[in-house]
Amino acid sequence: MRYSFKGFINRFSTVIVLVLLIVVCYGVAGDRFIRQANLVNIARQISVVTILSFAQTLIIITGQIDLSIGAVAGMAGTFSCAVYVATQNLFLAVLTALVIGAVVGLINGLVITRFSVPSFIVTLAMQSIAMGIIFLHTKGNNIYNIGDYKILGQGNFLYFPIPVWFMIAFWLVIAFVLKFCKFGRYLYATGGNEYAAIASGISTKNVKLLTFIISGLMASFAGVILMARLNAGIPIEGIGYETDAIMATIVGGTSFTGGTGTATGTLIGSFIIGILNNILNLMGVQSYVQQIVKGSLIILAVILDVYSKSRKRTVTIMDTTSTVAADDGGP
Amino acid sequence: MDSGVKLRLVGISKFFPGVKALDGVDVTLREGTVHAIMGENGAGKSTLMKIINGLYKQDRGEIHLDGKKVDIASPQQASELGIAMIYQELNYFPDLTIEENLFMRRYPTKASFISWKTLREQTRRIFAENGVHYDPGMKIKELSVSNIQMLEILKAVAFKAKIIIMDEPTSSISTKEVDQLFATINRLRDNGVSILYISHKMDEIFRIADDITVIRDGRTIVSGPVDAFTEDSLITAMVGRPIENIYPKEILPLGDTFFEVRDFNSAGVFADINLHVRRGEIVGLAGLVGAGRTELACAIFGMDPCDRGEVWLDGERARIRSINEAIQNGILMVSEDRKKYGVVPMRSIRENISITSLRINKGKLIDLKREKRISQRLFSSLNVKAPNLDVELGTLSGGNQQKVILARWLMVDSKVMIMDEPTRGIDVGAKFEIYSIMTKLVKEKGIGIVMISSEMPELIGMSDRIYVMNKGRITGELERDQFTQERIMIHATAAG
Repeated sequence: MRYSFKGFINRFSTVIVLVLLIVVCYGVAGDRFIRQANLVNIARQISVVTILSFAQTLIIITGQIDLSIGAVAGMAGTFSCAVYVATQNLFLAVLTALVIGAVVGLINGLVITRFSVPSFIVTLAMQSIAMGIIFLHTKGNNIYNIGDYKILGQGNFLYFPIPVWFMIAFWLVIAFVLKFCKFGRYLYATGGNEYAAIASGISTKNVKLLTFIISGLMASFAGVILMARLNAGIPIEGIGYETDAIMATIVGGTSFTGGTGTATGTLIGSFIIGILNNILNLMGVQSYVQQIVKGSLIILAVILDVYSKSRKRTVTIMDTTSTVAADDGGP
Repeated sequence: MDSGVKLRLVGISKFFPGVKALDGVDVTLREGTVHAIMGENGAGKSTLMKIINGLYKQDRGEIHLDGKKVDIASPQQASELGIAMIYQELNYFPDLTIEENLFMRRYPTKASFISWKTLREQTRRIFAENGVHYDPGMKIKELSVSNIQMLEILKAVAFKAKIIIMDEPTSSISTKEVDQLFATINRLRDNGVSILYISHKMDEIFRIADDITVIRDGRTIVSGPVDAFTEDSLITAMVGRPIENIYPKEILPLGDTFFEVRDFNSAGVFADINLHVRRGEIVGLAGLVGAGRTELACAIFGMDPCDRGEVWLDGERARIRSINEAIQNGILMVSEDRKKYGVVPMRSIRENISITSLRINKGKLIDLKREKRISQRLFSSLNVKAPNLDVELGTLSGGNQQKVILARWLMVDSKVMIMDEPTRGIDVGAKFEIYSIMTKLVKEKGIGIVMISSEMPELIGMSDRIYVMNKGRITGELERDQFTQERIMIHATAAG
């Protein structure tokens, strides 16, 4: 393997940032930061957003965006609570959430692929529709007394909180799909150059449709965990998660223009944001300041992304010019 | 000052890395005349026009305008000198109105704000002076290509252009619109405007031109008044270079006909197309740009719809309603537009090679070992110049990208491979390698190749048989012993 130093930096830039961050945090907060309870706490705090980020990663790889995942998490999670309260059947409750998520994803995907509407618009509208539906159903109230439902969010299994286990499971599955499944390659090709993907025999419409269904499914599952952690069905709590998911994805090295990105990168991106929040908390920084830091971080990440691409683009432009020249004057 | 000479180009040369695009071109444009610049694709016409328009700077040679030496550093400067260019691909803002487009960067202002009233008045005046009747408030996107072209010409005239360069202005307009265009050109000429007119089309040249300059291989071959030329002498001047033997063609005994396209029709694009391919045969598809060859290829490949037509493979009718079905049937297409329809730039060479193979093999998982093994083999045998398989494809040169895209199709079993301009924009060495691959494919695998090309030496060098297309129809079929550039050109340009 031949890697230049620069190539190494490019390849592992998110890991390097994570390690640096951990070192700095250790320096600033010392033992308080490195304590096992604190680390587990960070993992638990980021579990919901990380699952949503995995969904967003798949979507962004195909060159799309899904702004509805936060609202879908809120809607599906709350409906799921309602079903649980009514039936006391956990399986049925989770299944309800998944069906809702899949249906929303299906509708998103169908409108986007069959009517060629930009995903930004469709999923933004879906955000509003999802919120409207759940508020209509609950009449704006939250659902309390959800009993054992909360185990999904608050229970422990083998030393770790259950949400963390779910996060790990999704990480492994998504990483596997992107690396070893043909579907993963279709995602990259579709986002990398849709025309080329079509000309290679890939039905990019179906690929996108399926991706939105998966996104809806994962969003609804994240919603279940979220409500379980909150110990209540609170629809409004889902709102805003879609942008957090975009942040983790972009910080994790996925290009906003599609065609690149990994599950592990997103996991690291999510950890970077989670650790930042944590250390600012430990230092007693106000949450408003945390928002500023988070926002600045994403701008920085995108600048890095654009910068590393613009250098490549220069090469391509030069290549094009010489190609044009050859067209004009070649023998 | 030469009397009546508007623009004189003396010994213009332009070099690009590895390519001599222009090598001492002389052109003398007389005032109030139409001067046709002719030459094959790649002869250097476009480069020359870009130099006159200030997009490129010549490496050697001088430009004299009205007897004075000038430097043209930018299109803005060209415009100030009274030089305007009507591009083959028109530049305009589709959602702005006619008047907004017409006065782009020149809006009349009143106290720093746009004076819409003056704008409207001036637009109406220009239209009146030129006898056209457009609604100035109409959006450009509602106009036809020829109308937009007319506006570009009006724009040039309105802003005092004395030299107008037209790059294949009739390539995308109808016959009737050509008549209108020529009427406009004649009027401009009578008003003393000089026009440099680029075209391949014989009949047009003899209708409109006063003088002709033929460029070949970046040099002026012959220049003179139109009366000094005949259609034959013009063709000979354009294509008369000796064909170098850079084609590794092997004449093989051909098998039976196994692939047929019957009665292919697509309204307004192509009509009554019948063609066949024998085993081991390379069939050339010649024609001018816009003859419908690429559209036909896309229709056979299931990428574009066609109204009517059948594909027969091995004596059976093959139903091809999608690209996937075409690939399943062993019908593949290497697109002419490598950037758009081939390369996934940010993915690795390996992934770019294997993508179609993954698509048609069964199963959901990728056999990573097999993928690596086969793509490595293709990578080596096609002599792709890159450090390793994991390099992003976008970082490679055009020729190497093309080899990787070829590898993608070689990884799939094929019966017929349609190659649309397979060597466009790549250097001679890579061209030779691609020809060698083609020869090997027909020889060892016995597949059929349909090669679309605008480079006649390449068609003549590599084909066993050539179909010529003209205006959406097949107008000629030539066997190898009948191949000459003149014959192909006659079929490709014949009025019909």
